[in-house]
Amino acid sequence: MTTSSARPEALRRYAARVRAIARDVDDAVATVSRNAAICADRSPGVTGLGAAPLLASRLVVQANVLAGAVSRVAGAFEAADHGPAPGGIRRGDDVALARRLSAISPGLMTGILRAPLDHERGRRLGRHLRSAMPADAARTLDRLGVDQLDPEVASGILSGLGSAGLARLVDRAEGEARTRLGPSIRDDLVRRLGHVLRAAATTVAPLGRPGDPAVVSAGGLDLRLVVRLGRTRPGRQALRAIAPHVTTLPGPVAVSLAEALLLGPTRLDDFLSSAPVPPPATGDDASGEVAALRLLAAHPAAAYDLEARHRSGVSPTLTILDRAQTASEVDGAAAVIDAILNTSVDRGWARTWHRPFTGEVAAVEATPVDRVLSGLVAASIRSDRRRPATSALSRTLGRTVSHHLDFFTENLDQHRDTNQSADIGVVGPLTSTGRFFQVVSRDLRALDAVAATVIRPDRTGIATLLADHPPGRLTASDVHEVLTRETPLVTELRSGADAAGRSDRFAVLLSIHLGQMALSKAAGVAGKAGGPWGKAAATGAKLPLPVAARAAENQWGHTDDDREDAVRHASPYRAAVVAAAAMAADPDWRRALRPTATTSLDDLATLKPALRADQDRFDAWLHAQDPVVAEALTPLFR
Amino acid sequence: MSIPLTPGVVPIDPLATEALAASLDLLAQRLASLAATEDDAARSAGEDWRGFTRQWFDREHLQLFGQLRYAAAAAAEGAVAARRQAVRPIP
Repeated sequence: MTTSSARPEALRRYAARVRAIARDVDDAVATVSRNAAICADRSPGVTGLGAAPLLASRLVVQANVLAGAVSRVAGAFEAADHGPAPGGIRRGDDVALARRLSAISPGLMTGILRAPLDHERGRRLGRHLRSAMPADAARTLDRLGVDQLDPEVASGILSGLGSAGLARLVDRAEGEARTRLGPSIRDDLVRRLGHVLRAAATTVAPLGRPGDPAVVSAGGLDLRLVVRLGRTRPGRQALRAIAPHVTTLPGPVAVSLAEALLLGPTRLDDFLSSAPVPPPATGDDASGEVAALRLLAAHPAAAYDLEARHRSGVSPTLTILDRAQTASEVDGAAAVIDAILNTSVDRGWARTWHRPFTGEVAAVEATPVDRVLSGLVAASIRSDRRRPATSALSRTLGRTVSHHLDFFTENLDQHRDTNQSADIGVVGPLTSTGRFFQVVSRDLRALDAVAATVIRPDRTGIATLLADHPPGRLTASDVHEVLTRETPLVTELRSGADAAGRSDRFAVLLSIHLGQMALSKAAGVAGKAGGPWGKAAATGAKLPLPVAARAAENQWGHTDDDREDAVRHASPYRAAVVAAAAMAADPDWRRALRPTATTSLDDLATLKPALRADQDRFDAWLHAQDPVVAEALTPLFR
Repeated sequence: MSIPLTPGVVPIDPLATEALAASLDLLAQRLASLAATEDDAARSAGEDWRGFTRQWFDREHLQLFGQLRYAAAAAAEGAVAARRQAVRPIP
């Protein structure tokens, strides 16, 4: 509970000033009203003078009301005095002040001004609960109707109980859980305590942006309660028991809970240190930790704030991921990572990674994004083996690649050098990045997304290759050289996908994206006179089928043709598949592609589900082509 | 001096209109100067003052002075509107 203090004489001066303002405004309004009346009589044509006189009249009333209220508050401060304090400041606690206010001016006791009294009522009850038996405590809270509990009363209950009282109460319930009715009493109690915490937490304002201060309304939850609970073993046990029953918490409280349960001593630490006391009945699973993760992940700003607050120590996010042992915990950690690396960029709290000034690396403070990114990649090798593989984690890491592609491109060599000789796994040496991509590749959608990000014309050099080489003269070694020399990230992705057993999928994706590049490049070249692809388009010689189709139309690169544009937007994936299939049919490209790719491409049926959505529109486009071209393309899709 | 009323013409007395505009100007100036005293008055009253009554005070104070500024702007606009109509050519 806060202690209010004010200088009553300063409040009275303020009230006098506001009354003077009201008088001045009132005089000016009287003059305006008189002139307006004259004007209305002599100049009825003058209109639209606005609402200023009316507004000003209301202001006079409002100012007088405020002046009166401030005067009464000043009187209440004087009445609630506990004696003068240094500097002439008079002090009275919130409850004494609220009581005086309610006596002096009942009309002033709005909900907010009454909050300290509600808090005090709850605090008395909380003090009583300190020494109550668990069953009595559960019954008492039940009678309060905790589901619709007043937030200030709930805050008061927790304040009266205190961290030690709360921990003891839950500890007693855990102790009795071995009796016949014990488990149901304990469950009842912790559920109701969870509701109390939830109700009290509504007095804490949600966190708008990372770094914003926590704001608690009058008579609200003392934020130090959760922090204190996190400092002791019984306190942490109480939090572990209560957290699963809390549906939602505002960001600042979720951060405190995460610090207590996810960054402090673990369940195992607490269990070992409590010997020879038997393990608590509710400590057998990680539901408290999972709940803390869920509550934190619900607030991206809070998750980012947690990372930023621990900037000088070990990264909380990496600790959370490192400790995750169950799939639920890994999913929760993935949500936290997503908040820090991706949501932060989407919402403008953080920039994407960029290389710091090289000469002054030490002077550049690592941001939460930099730290978590570097840590994630560097830690991939050592911590990934025992962590459950979940789709949520894979997709989060996949999203991370697209948000921070520069980081992966520019930090590749560093991690390769430091980890090249590590003894890792059975698939062959993987770099940290390769291992990172291995985790990504466990989820097909994540692998698809990363492939679309990593295999890009402006990054691979493939586009240059296509432009420089006439069709039919592109060899397998050309493609291989470009892939390994200019696109190490693609190579890493291939290694990771191989290690995850996704070689086929990767090969298909590679050919599809290369095909897409070939298409757009050929379209650009064929649109101009001359050029190797243009000439080839003119003669129709030894050109992959779909490229020939587009080149023959000679309009693919233009957007002013509605029909073309619609088809192009509707079927980008399908067009790429056409190219990939054609590439696989071309001897040179077939040599350049891995055998698994051509095998997969031969069986286009596996891709059909993804293509069915725009089948009709594509068919319409196909039938609108030159009959020769349409005839050549049709077998590829039937 | 009032412009004689003739069918189809709305009379406008420039002097009366100017007097109204001037009083609106005065109201605007007074409201604006009162609003400008906000910081001093609030700072002095809020010294050492915390807790739930302070939160209530901050909210009420901001509301009052916000409306002072709004009313000042409205009064200034009213004065401009009155003068514009006073010099309007008579049809």
